[in-house]
Amino acid sequence: MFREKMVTPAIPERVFTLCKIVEKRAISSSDLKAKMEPDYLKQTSSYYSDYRTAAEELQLITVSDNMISLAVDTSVIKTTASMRRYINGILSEFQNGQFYQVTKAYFEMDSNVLNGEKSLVALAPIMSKQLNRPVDAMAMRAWRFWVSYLGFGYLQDMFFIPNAAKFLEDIISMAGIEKGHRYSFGDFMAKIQPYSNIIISHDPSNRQLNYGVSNGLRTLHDAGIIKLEHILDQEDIWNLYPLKAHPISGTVTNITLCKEEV
Amino acid sequence: MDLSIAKDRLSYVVKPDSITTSQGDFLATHVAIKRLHLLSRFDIMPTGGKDYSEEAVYRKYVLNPDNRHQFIAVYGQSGTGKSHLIRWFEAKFQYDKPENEVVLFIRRSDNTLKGTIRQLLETTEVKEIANKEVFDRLVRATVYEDENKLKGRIYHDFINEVECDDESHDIRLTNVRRKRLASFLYNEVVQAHLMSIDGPIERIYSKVAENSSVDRDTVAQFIPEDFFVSPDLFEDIHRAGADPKAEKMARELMADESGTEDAQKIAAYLNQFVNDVIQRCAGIEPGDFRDIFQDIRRELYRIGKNLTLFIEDVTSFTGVDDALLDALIVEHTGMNEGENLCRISSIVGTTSNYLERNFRDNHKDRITQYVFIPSDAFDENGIFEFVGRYLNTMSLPEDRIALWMKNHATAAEYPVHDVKEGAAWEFIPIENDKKLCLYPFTKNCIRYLYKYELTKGHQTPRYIIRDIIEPIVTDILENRAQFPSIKYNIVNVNTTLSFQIHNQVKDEQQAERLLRFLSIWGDGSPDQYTQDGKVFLSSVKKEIIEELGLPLLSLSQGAAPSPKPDPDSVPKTKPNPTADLKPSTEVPVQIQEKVSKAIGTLSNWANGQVIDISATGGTSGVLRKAQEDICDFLWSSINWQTEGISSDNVSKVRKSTVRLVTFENQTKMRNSGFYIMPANWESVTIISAFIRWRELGSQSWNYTDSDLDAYLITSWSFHIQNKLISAVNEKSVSETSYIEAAVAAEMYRMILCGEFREKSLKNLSAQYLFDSKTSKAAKNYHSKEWNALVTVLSQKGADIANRETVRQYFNIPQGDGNSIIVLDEPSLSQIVRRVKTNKLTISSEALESTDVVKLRKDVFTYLKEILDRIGPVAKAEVNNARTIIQTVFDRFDSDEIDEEDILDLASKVKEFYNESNNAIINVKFFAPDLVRKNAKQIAKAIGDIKNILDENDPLTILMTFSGDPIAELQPLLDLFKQLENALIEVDRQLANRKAKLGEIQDYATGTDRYANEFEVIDECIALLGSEAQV
Repeated sequence: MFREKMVTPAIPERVFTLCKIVEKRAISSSDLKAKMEPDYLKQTSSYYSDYRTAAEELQLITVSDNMISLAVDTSVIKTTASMRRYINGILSEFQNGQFYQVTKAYFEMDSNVLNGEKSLVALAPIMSKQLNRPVDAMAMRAWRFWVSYLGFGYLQDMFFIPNAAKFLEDIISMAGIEKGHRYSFGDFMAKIQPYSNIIISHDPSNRQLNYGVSNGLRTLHDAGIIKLEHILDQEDIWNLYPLKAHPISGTVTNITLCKEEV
Repeated sequence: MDLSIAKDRLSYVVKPDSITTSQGDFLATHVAIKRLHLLSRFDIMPTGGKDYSEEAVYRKYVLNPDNRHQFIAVYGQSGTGKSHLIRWFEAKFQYDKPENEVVLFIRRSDNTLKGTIRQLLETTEVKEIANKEVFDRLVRATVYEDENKLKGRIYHDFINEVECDDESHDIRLTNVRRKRLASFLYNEVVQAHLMSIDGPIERIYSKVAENSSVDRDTVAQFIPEDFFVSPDLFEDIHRAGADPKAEKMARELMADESGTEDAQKIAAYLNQFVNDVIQRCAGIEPGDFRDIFQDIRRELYRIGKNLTLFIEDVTSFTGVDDALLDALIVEHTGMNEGENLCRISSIVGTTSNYLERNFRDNHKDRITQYVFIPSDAFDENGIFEFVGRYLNTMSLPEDRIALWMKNHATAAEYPVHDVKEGAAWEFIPIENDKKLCLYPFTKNCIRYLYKYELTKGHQTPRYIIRDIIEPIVTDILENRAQFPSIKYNIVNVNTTLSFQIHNQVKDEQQAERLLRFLSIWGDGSPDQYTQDGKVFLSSVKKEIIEELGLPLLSLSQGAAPSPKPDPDSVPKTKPNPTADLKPSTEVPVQIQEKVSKAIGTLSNWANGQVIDISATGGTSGVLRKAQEDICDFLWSSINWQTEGISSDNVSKVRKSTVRLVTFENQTKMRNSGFYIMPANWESVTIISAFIRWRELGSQSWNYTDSDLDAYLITSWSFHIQNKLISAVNEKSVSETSYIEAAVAAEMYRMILCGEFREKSLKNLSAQYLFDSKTSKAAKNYHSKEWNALVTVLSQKGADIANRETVRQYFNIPQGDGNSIIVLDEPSLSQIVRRVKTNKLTISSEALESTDVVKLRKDVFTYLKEILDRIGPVAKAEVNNARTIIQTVFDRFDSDEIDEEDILDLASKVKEFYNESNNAIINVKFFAPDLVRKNAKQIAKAIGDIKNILDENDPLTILMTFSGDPIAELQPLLDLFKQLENALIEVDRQLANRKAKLGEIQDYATGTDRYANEFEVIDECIALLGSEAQV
């Protein structure tokens, strides 16, 4: 799912459930399968290997002598949100995987996605061309589950509106950003850089933030989670995607992680 | 503008009909028309061709430099300014006319025949006509007549015309149809229908009688719609007991296609009688008007004068217009030379439609010149000037206008008021280097209102006055503090501007007011710029915004518009108004208007009005769709499963009548939604975004400024997500999830249907829930109460639905799901455990679920049905068993029965049959093998039943009887029954044998039959007695 091709059965909820089952004790793969897809259901096919592989790729579980055990601290799988934060923290390890590359390409399309295909499925050939690797309709269907779960934006039927608010909130919490401290935007970007390459280009000459990232930052600003500012005498100027209507319409120089939601 | 003067003068100046204003105001508000078309043949909507100014037309034709007979028809759509132009021609002609020219001006007055006759009677020329007889008839025609009486006369005159039709007209009806029509018209219901306020009789009456209130351009005719018979009308006619002929006609007119054709024909047929009926009702003869004008012309000829006749509107002569036209087309030369008629030059105004339909062809052919006034007779600057002149005139005292009039009303001396209000506003330059203040208008505002407020066909001077000038000036006079208070639709509202305003102005009403002002009075752009030291917001001077007390705003800096024309110079080229007024985007205007109307309704909603989205069409329909789209978006954008909401719950909520989202103050809805969007601006922007997504983007984000909308809705979703998740979560209704009830109910069902037959729940695992079947129970030995409950469980597929709830609740599907089930095992185990621990019951509060989601509530109801009945069922089952088990105890004469007892019984039974056989007693053999074989189970069943007899816990009882122990007893019970029968048979056969032996007393008294045997026995007894003594 993350290392290679994306597959639809490997959805986040199944990965989470699988982890919850092995949370207390290691269990054989067959027993694990029997819990999630028991024989008494008399089903003709199984999805088990797909979501188990995804959990393994994400290093949530380890498989040894056919015994599956939890590979992370139990706090990681306390909730789906904590698992999301964990996964968002390790996404950079999957730079060659389809998920990473499709996400990056989608965000690079900026607001053009709004004027393009209405369905992600129809985007498959475009992605194939852009990434120079086959991306099929099934991969795009699978992508939507994770890209939405990981907080990169919002699904509208089979269309995806980029707004990385949740993803950004997660990586801000991991990046050691001090609450109440006003960071220059460059410093802020440097701090989140280990986690954010998937959607933010860190080319120093490019201080342009794409539509989905700008949406995310503005959403967090509007929610009082961060405070974006353009301070006139500051030179570390970054450009958000321009939205005249928004109080932070374009440029931004500083960012503060708010102590409390305002 | 000078509001203090305008306050008094407004109602005098702002009169949509030129005929009602004073001559001074008329000339002061006059704007030259420069787009007249000249035609030699009638064309209802001429296109192309050269434009002529009114001045050119006046000089070439009205002034009649060649002194010719002429008949000029001035025509155009309603409200284009025909009367205004004719009045202007007449005013100008009065100054320029030759000495021997007599001018007769028939004004439209109240546009009725009686009013017109009265006007004629007051002219010197008519007063002096020699034909007293005609004169007297005209006088009589003006006599007031009771309204209802006159209407009744008109109506019955038409019936009379139908009945007495001599077929001299072009359109004819067959004799049968004429009779049907007459009957139809006689019908009371039909008469009331045709004489209703918007019916044909009212229209005709209004053109005859003075002081009737009616649209001036109403044509006194029948229209096909008058004879469309709706099912309701037909029902009324039928119920009133119509004459069969009338009913037949009504039925014909009700037909879908032929009815329409018939209505058209009847309207056309009756219209042939309109003139005759009007003349008869007015008491004049058809030739009267021809005679009057002939007399006037003869008289003028006699004194060496000529006649120029101005008629503002020929429909003033409704009923006699034909005769009038006959008189006007008669030339004074040629074959009529001997008539001694003076030369007549007629300038007659008429609407295009009237000219087309009511002028006979021979009249049209004799019209010497057609002057067409197009609807867009003014170019854009002409419209500005038109508005400016009205504003100027109402700001001038009457005496200044009068003075100007006195001095021949020259353009050079055109009075311009001293600007008291609006010095900072826009001005429109006019000739002679004068400027007119447009306060309280801007050019943008005039452009906008002309384009969007005036409907097609109403973009004419009359409606500019009525629908633009008057309301706006009244608004500034009466509501200055709230100006502009008229809630015009903002077509194609700039989302960015709206967002910026609402972000900065928290007072909703003020924000709406500012948005309205900047969108209509300004250019609606979200930018500000500085030009010549002045700050402009949406192209409106900041000081104007301040002057009106509107909230101040800070917009994004934009570039000043490219070179503006010198405001003090009259533009050399006149732009095409239609080109200037074209939509700024590719979205069709209808769609833009649809969107703006919906957003207008939302604005009102944000300001406290209720909102109705119950209809599927119109604005209500647009809003309804928006709400559906919002719900759809939230259903797909929120990861419900990862947020702990099972897909089964989502599915149940989506199928419920309760919407995910509804609006505050929404009317006509059964339930409020899970999330109620508050009636505020933020909600308006979100709903508007979805409206634009559907309408402008055709269900996509592919439209201008969609980037903002897409941001807004995702940001909003982020903001409200947790509230929605909490609301949809079943735990918001009760601490007990419906799944606990579903699992408990399913377990009960399995127990009752014998699918789980253990006396303890311990082994009731999740597998049972997924294995269980919902097939009908086979023959059993339960009580009727038990079987009745089992029947209830499967009523209307309730068992299947509940089982599906259990299966799907723990399923983790992908997307819309498919057939493969992946279980949320931890959750499944937890719930099964909890339900078992709670002994298949839930709290009574939870059972009385108030859940608005029916499918979730149904689960609780289902369990409640079971729980309510299990007590009586258990009791009945025990009572049933008690009776049966007592039989067993009685047979064994003990209540301690074990397997050995049963096996012993089986052996004895066998012996019994053997003995019977040996005694040659013929009874039907019943092998006790089944009893022997099942002795263990039978003994267990007896023990189970015995042990449960004093139990009170229904679940324990049900579980005991789940395996149907009475059925286990059946072999034993059957055996008892057979034995019972067998014993009866044995007794019967023994009795028979005894009977054959005779009466017992015979043996005592002795008979010969056994005498020898008795002797032998006696001897033996004696012998045995003696041996014993030895």
